[in-house]
Amino acid sequence: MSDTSSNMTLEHPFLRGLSELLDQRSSAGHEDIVKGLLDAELPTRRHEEWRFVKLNALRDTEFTLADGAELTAAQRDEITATVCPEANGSRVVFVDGVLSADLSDLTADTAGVSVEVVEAGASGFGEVAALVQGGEDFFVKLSDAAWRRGVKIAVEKNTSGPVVEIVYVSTAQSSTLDMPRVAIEVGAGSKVGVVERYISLGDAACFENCVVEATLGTNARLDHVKHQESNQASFHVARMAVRLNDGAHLASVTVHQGAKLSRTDLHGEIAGTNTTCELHGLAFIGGAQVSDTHSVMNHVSPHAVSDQVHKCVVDGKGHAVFNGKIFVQQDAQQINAFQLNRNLLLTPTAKIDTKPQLEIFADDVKCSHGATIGQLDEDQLFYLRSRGLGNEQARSLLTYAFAGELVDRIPVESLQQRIARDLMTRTQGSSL
Amino acid sequence: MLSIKNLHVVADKAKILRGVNLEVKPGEVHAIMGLNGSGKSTLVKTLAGHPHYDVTAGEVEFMGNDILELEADERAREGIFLAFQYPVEIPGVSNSGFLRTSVNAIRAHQGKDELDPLEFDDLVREKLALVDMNPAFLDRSVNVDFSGGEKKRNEILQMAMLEPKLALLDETDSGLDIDALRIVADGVNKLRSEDNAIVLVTHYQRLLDYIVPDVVHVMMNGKFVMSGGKELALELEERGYDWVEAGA
Repeated sequence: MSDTSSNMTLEHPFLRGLSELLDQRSSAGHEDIVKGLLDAELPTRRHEEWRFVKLNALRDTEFTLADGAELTAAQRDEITATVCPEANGSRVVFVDGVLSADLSDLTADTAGVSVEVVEAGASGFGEVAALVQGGEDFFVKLSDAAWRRGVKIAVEKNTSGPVVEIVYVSTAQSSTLDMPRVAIEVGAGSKVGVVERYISLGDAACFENCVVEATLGTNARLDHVKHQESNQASFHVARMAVRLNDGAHLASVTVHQGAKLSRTDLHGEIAGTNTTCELHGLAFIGGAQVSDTHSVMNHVSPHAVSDQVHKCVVDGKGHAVFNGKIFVQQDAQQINAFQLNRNLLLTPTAKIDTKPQLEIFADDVKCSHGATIGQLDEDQLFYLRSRGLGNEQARSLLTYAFAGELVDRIPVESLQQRIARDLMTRTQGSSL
Repeated sequence: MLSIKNLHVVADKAKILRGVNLEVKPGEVHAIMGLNGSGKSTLVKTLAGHPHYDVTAGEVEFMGNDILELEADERAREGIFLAFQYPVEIPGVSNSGFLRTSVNAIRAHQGKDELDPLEFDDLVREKLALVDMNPAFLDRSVNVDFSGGEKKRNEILQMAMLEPKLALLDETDSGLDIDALRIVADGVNKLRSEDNAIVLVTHYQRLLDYIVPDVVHVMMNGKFVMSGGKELALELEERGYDWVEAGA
């Protein structure tokens, strides 16, 4: 059975492209991981977790390993123009999977904080990531088998850490693949900020398979922002899992603007009491883009808060998916779980699938969830127009206002302002 | 300034206005009174260009031009302002950003330079005083979590900023306590001039104690059935609408 399925899987151009990478890893003593991957199938719509999106285009593309590229001065400037000054001294920039020594800046020498680029096999990777889909996720397995270089951020206890920015640049001159991998460990009583960004310089269809895992110690805080603006031919698959111990606070905002297909799975393992887990998201897409976010808030301890606002603005023939699960396990009493998914459709051809799911095994909990799908409000439009704003201006202002609630939650000011400007420009250019 | 001839309006297939005629000259204040459902709000919303209302017959000229083909924003830029009966809440749009965008849209149309943030700030602070509003309102989302009275004052603030030629006040007095009513009415009075005109819709005579009308019209079943001076409002207050109906 396993031989047959691995042979079948390798027939896909997608995995054929991975063979070089997998061969390297097999010879490095990771045969088990590679075999496990080949036994798994790339998910299809028959899988419950993949009902709404097709991976055919991914399956049919043969990607080659991205392996560094020389940048032109103009490309270098383009990258430099987007970095967050808040992270000066704590910046890691990868270009086509290879650390760029001159664009990176790791000169901040904060006592108790270490930011390092490590090779596959380093400790601290894998355990938390395995929480995603109960360890059965194809893409985590793929990352486990094939990641090469990762970023490890470790903050010792009682340390006020910096904002660390990790930038993944794809030159996208041909169809390449990259396996970004990040592990974050925030010690007891400490805090750190992490900005994760994805940009493309070219137009080729690339594949990014990202896995981020974090462990927050007692009373630790992680502020996480992710901004994905890969080119519109690319496939962006991302997994993030966070384990929160007593008193920990995760505040995460993910903004998806790019990629032909983006699929994100978020997992908050709320393992401590008095914890707060925020997983917010914004998908701002159009054309024929697809953006699919699945999330799990797993309450296993009592006295905790989970908070999630996920919004989608869909233009053109875009398609956004949200599936938000909240589990409240038997011992997790006195939980306050809040989830809201709001969707704005800008055209009749835009599409939304939303599926909130609550599974509650404790009896003393407060859970609220809601999902809305709508167009721009006619009364609001008339109000703005009655004050002299043109149709397009009024629509653009309302569209931006819808998304703005999430932009306001981005804790890094330079990035917040850049995204705000970008979305305002994009709303003005919308097809309406 | 405003000339309405035989205006017929339909909404949701129901005939609402059935032949309204009205002439408003610069400097005048006209009050429209009448029972609920008589068509008062429909008239002012139609004049402001609300897309829900279809004009099936009649003419409306404003400053000598036919405005029925103009969109709501074009009418606003020509100088028509509607103070809403139920001002709309717009989460995520700051009151100050909205006001500035709005003022500049109208200034651009009039061939004036846009106000920069400092000039805007000076102007808006002056106008805030007119309606006794705290500058903190500027930083909040448009009408979100405003009380009823605050929303109405915000409408008059917008009117003060936009300096319309024709202001249509749709039940601006409803939901106001006596103090708030005085503030709103004082604000409106300070904006009156020889060059602009006001058409106000109200159920109650009490607003007309503060904003004294030149002409009072009574609307019934989609048309004006009686017009008179400010004394007509007092008479309506005293005798109700039945006697008008009997006379009409």
